[in-house]
Amino acid sequence: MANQAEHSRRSFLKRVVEFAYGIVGLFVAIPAAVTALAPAATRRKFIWIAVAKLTDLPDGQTTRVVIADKNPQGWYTVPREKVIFVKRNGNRFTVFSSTCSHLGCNVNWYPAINEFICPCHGGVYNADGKNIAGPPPLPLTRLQNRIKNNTLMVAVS
Amino acid sequence: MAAIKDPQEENVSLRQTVAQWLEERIGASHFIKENLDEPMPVGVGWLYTLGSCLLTVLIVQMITGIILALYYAPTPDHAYDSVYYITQHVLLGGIVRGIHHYGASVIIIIMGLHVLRSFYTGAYKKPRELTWMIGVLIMAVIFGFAFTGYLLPWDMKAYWATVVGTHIAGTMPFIGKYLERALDGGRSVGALTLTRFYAIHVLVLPALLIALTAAHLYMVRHHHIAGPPTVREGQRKPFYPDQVAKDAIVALLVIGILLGFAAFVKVKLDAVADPANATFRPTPEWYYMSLYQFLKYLPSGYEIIGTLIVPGVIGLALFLLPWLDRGPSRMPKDRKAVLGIGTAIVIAVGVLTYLGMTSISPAAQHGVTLANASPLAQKGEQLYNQSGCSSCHMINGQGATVGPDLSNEGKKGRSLQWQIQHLMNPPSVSPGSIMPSFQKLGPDNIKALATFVNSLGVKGGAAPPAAAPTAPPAAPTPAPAIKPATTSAKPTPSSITPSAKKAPSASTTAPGKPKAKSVAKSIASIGNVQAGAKVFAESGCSSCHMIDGKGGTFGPNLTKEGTHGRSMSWQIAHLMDPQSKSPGSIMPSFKKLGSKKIHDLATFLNSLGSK
Ligand code: FES
Repeated sequence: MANQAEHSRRSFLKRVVEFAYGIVGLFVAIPAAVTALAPAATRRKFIWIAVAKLTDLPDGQTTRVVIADKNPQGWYTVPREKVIFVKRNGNRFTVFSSTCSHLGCNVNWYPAINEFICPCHGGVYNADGKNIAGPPPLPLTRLQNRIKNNTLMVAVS
Repeated sequence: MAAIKDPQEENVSLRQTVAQWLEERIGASHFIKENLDEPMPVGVGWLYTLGSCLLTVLIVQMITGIILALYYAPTPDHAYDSVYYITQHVLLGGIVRGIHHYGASVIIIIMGLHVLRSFYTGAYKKPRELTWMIGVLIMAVIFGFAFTGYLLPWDMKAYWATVVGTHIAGTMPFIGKYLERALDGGRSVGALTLTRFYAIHVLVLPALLIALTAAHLYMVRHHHIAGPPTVREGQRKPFYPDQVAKDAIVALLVIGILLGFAAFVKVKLDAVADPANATFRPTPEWYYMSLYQFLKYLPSGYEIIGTLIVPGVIGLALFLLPWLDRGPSRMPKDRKAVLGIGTAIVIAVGVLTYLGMTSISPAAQHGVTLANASPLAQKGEQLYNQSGCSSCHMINGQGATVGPDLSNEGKKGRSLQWQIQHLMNPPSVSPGSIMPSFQKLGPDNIKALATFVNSLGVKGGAAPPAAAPTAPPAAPTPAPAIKPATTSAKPTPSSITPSAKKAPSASTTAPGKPKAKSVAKSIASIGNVQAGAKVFAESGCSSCHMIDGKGGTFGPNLTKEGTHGRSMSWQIAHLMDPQSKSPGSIMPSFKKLGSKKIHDLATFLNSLGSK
């Protein structure tokens, strides 16, 4: 009888150990995991950035423009440069991000052959940003744009 | 008889007392003795030193890593500068960084050999399955070290390799996007990526590595070393000193080679990371080269085969190998299929690595360049290449970063006249510039060069003025001397672009003259010190090098050049072909000075700072 009481007392204590340390673990693990992974949940935030005066964008051509990307990353708010390509057709502007849809390198525009080529794995896009050769799975991303005060603005995230 | 105490006896008894005192408190002597006396299977030879060698190099990495961490600052503003600082300004800092840098490669090589040895001898068979699996986890941790450590110098190569690396994680189905953002610490590689990679590299992975290594070693001892596949007859020798002696010799050899590399093959530091650079061609470190090459072959939509499926299947197969090859025999003849597949993979990796290393840039494959310019500008481009401009300036990722990057020079809205004036007399339009005058090229050539420079970054040959309002305004050329830490690095032109030109900079002139103070202290040599000093002054050496506080800081300070113990032949070979002696150097060849002047110059250099 006494033996059985002792036995159940022990198994109760074992539960206590499991429970208490389990809670301790959760107390630490939950905030730790949330804080570590919080950036994975960052929302895309678009901001409008001026690209160029319309007069500076030659008609019928694709122009490479370096813009200052003002979206801060964490505490680091120094604007970084970002490359975009503006294709102008009369008053129609198509703005391409330079980020290759394959693994993220910056593509470049080669007017001699009217194509974008990615320096990493050789992806090729045509003048409309469509992926036409090599590994890229998708066309170049087109960025939203609008014209304000004779200046082309683009939404970057 | 007077008792004369034998001093040795006294010593022994003292040692024994200390040993006993410690034993009573620690109680580990039995454990230690057992491990040192562990009998090795017969036939365990040099191939079985790999594990211990790996451990040695890992410890070296830990030590050098701690030293580097004393100086390193993981922020986009300072990471590059702090790495530059440790290599250039801290005594032996370059060597410590070199050891850490090349140590990574050495670890991968030795780890590879260690795994192959265990694989071919079937060391993973019962009861050592878990020893093997833990080993595979250690391998994963080591690749993690290589990946996270690569970003830390925050140069071009580091940045773009990480962009590609985190995108690779992003191709995983379902969780890919989140995984990528968790790695990046946001939506792109930036400040938060750097702190994250740093924390993982110096806190998380070392903890994992230590735990896994302890478990691995425990298992190795618990089941004893597997030894050769066949049990051989003979006398078994103890681990210490018989096997440890072999381990020590191999460690000495490997660390010697590592130190040699660290001392004589300078680790490259590319230009500082630039997200706006579009032509830098990021090629990964050699151990990721096979994957890089493989990715190129996969057509649109199939990239996941290269990013996830093949590496994942190989990794998983390695991990589960003890269950894929279950026969009890460890003999190669009974394991033909497994060994065949393994060998095929090794060969494939080797071939892909070779192809990756020798491949040329995609744009070159299409036969295009960015230059799309008038004949005058084309002539200018030729001059640019011949006059050694790329020793200081970068265009689209090719060239050095001593002077400003010229990729978008044409967009800065500078007039042709400004460019001409600048080439004739740089400080006149850009005060403080240390660029030498190129007047001696003659007016026609200067005009061509100016036209070329003004066409840079402008498409279609036409030159629209200042296209981007947000781009930097037409400021005068920044004087690199103001911020030496970021601009005076010794980056190398993208190492893979074969066309990175290094034309001799014959046209440089000398803004400053070195003091001929140490001239008299000539050492016996074959050249003439005074003549050498003159050549030094005339050839523009001081544009880049400082002697006794005068001259530029792009190249190493030469004030004490003569005290480095470099031979005349080293100096001569270095002047003729700098890269042959210090790979990654951006110094142009001075071959065209001719043998006499080169000899004088070498003699002069070797006299500097010597007493
Ligand atoms: S990143 Fe552009 S082709 Fe791979």
